[in-house]
Amino acid sequence: GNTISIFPAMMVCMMGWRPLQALMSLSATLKALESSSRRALQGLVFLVGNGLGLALALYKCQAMGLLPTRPSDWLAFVTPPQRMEFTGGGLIL
Amino acid sequence: AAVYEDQVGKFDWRQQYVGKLKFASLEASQGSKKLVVATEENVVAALNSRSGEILWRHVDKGTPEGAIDAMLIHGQDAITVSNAGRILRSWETNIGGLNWETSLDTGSFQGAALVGLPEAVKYVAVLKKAALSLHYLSNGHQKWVEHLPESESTQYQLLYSRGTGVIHVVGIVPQSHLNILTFNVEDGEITKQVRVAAPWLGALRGCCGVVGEAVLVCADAAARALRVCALDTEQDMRHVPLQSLELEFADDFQARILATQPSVTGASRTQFFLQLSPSHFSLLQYKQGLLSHLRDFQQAALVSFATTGEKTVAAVLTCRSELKPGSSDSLHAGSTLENTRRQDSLTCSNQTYNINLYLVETGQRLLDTTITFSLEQGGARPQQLYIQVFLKKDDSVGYRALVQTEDHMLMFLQQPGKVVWSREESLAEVVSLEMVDLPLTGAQAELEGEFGKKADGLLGMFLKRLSSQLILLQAWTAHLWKMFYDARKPRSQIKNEINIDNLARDEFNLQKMMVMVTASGKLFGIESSSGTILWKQYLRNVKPGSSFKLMVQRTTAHFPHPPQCTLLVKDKETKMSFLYVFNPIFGKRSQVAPPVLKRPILQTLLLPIMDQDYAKVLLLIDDEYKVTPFPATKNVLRQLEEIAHSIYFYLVDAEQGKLSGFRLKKDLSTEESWEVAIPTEVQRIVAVKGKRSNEHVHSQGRVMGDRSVLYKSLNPNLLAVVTESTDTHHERTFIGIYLMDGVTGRIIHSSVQKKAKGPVHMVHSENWVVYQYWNTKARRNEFTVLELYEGTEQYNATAFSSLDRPILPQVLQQSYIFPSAISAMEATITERGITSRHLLIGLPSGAILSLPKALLDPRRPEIPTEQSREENLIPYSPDVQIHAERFINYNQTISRMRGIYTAPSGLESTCLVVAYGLDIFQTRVYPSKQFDVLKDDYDYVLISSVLFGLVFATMITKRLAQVKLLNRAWR
Repeated sequence: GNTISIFPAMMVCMMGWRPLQALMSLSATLKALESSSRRALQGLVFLVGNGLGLALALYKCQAMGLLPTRPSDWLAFVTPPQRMEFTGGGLIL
Repeated sequence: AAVYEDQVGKFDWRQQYVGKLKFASLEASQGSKKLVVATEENVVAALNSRSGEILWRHVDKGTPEGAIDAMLIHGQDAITVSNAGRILRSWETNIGGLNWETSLDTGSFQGAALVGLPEAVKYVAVLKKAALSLHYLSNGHQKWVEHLPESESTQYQLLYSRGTGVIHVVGIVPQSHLNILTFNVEDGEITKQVRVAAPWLGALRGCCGVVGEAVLVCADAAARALRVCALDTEQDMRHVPLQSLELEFADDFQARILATQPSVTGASRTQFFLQLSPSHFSLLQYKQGLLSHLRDFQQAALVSFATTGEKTVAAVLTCRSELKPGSSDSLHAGSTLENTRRQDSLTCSNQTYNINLYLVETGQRLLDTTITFSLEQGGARPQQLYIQVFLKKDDSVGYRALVQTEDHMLMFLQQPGKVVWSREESLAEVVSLEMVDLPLTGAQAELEGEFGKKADGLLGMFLKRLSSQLILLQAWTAHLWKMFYDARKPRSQIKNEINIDNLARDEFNLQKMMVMVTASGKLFGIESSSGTILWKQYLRNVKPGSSFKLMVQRTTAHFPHPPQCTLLVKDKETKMSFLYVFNPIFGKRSQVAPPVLKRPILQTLLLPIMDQDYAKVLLLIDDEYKVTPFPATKNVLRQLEEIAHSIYFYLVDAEQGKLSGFRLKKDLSTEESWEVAIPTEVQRIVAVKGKRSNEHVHSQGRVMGDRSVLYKSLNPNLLAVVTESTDTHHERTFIGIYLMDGVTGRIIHSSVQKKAKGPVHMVHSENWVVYQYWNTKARRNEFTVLELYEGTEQYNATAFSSLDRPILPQVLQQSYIFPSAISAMEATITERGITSRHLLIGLPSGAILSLPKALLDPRRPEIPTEQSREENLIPYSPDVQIHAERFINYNQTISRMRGIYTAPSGLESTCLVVAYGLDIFQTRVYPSKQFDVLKDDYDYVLISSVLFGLVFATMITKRLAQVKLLNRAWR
């Protein structure tokens, strides 16, 4: 479901938060891989995997309409255009 | 929009008026509680003579059809003739009920009189141009109607009866003769017809009167004499020269006769007033063919007769000092307007007047009957005087006086000069209105001033802040002290009176000063939350029918400069105009000298630029299309020169069907830049509306269902012009709507609504125009809404120039059926324009309907779709219903509403509303509910007790946890 309700929202949060957490603890993960011989490749796979997870979360956000990507999302910040001419008058008194 | 029961009168008030008096009747008894009045506003009402409140009021049509031609009082009944003598009504004056109503034949109304037989008053006679009819007082039925002979050439104007079973009708052929007819009351037969030569007489009314036992007395100024003729006998007019009495007629003055008939069943008094000049009255007596002079009144402004029991008295209103011609001491701006009224203008230099009573038989002054009263300096003169006399217990004469002044103020006076009450009846004709913010209190001004001034070092700023905080603390403690002090007193004694000294802006700027301009030329400053009149100012040289334009040049925001309002008054006949500059808070005339306007002013333009004293610049365009700036300091002229190329103005001449646009040049001359002609043979311009200059639009577009944006076309120079066809046949009548750019004259949209008729009411705001008209084909009232959009892309998001708009806006349109006619319409307005808009629609019933603009939205779909639901669009339905809960004035109806004024308050949710007509009503509306204010019934106690409870619980549990930890550590 792309509707905004509590469960999908929580799911999306978790979906985004987990890869972020993993990426933040990247150095610790790399330390654990220090002994491995194909350290570079494993690290890369870890990075890509988490990156994909993050992308999926973003895609989900986009599908739910949570990303401010459309002009309507910025409408409140549009300032009124400056007036170049000034006019007034009316029916003759 | 409806209010709860406990909110009634909390934020709103209504004041009811009756208008300028035409006829008034005061009962001749001391205990009488009411006075019955009929007014120029076509109102019949009874006022409470103790308090001046309206006991009951009947409002007839505002058109000449409702005009009251005569009012007669008989016992507890008031008989009125209205609609040019077509309708005869009888009212029960105690409760205001209608006894009966009859319609009369057509024919121009000349006069009405009660007709009495010796024992009782049973009939009312109505004199028309060609007929005399007699009606029963009990039920209005017609007893008889008789044609008047020679009615084509004779003007029958005078009606007289004195309980002898006959009615005398006097007609005149000007400069030739009088025709005196005598009718028998019983069958209407003409018992006598006399022709009396009177080649010197031009008109009967005013000039002649009936005194004594049916003796006609006329003043003949040319011969300096009185002419006398008995109506009963066949004889010529007697010539009674006045030289012997040493009375001189003033030149160029139509002498007048004022006689009195205490009771319709008896003869008139033999005494009468002869007015020889505007201020010279003479009390004369004509008895048994002898004219005698009783008393002379050289400096009288007004005279009146009154009778109680057997005693008839004459009341004379005189100036305490001397009456002077002209008004040299009165304030006024345009001295050029002054001379035409000089002839009958007599001013009393210190505005203090005396009323005295004189016994008519002898002309003797009655002792202890003087009423002395003062009017405001430079104010209006008394215009009408009505007297209520009564016999006191010791058989002496007591009286009260009702005085109406030129500015339509009513004063009820009591001996020795106490004003029992006064009413400002000119407020029944408000023509222009502005709301001005109240000034800040001293403390607030200090704080504001801190931000306004330039910085003078860190320390200086800090000290200033400290001092202003100190002042605030002081004010707060004073407030607390007052609260504490008041709390000890019983509630009834606490008075929260508003007067001009303690005026201050409230927290949310909900309380404002309403500056009202009335048709009589009197200005009022009314405090908006209570309706108290705080100041009034009468402009004496304003003639009836003048046009007014009120502008706020400087608001209260520029302390210490006083706020400044400017009123432009233009006389309809002479076309000359003058400016009156005043302080809207205190009503005082400003020190600033306005320019002397030598040429008629066609229009004004308030520019957003300010002079060094923060007064907005006003441009006045005269009939040579030259521009006069006000104020005209060097600074202003320099600024004007800089921005002259961007200033345009438009003038609409409805008579010639011409709209023209002008461009300002650097030397303050103008150049015509466009002209649009609307042929007057086919249609005439009825209304032109631009946008309100103080309107803010928060959102530049609307979000669509697919989350794209439909940008609004917010052209600030857009004009909506409405025309009506000259052909009013229901098949061919139409109205036209033109949306034009005021700078370029480009017609952005035009449409013609066929089979539609005015009057058209229109509101033009943001990107929409709503107008209402009568559909002659379907016979119903309809609304049409036009909305303008730029599309999904903005052409230029940073600057708006009318000269650079290659793409025409998209125009959406929808129409709706409205179940009622309307009498006024306006849109709500708020500070930042975030709150949704409502239309305030004044209905002829006196209610104000608050209609959400969302109901008049041309994007309402006929078939709702997913996207339209997403946008919250209401599916289209052709009829807009009137729900009584949308009335903002519950049962406080406003009679004959002419306009609605809206003003923003300091709260975004709240809009102030004033509706005016015969009544004035003020309230607040919250179109999107009160989203920025806690509700009245907000439960402070519960919330704070829960909060404190939680804090307390936290503290306890913390302590408990500490104890537990300690115990565990010991274990």
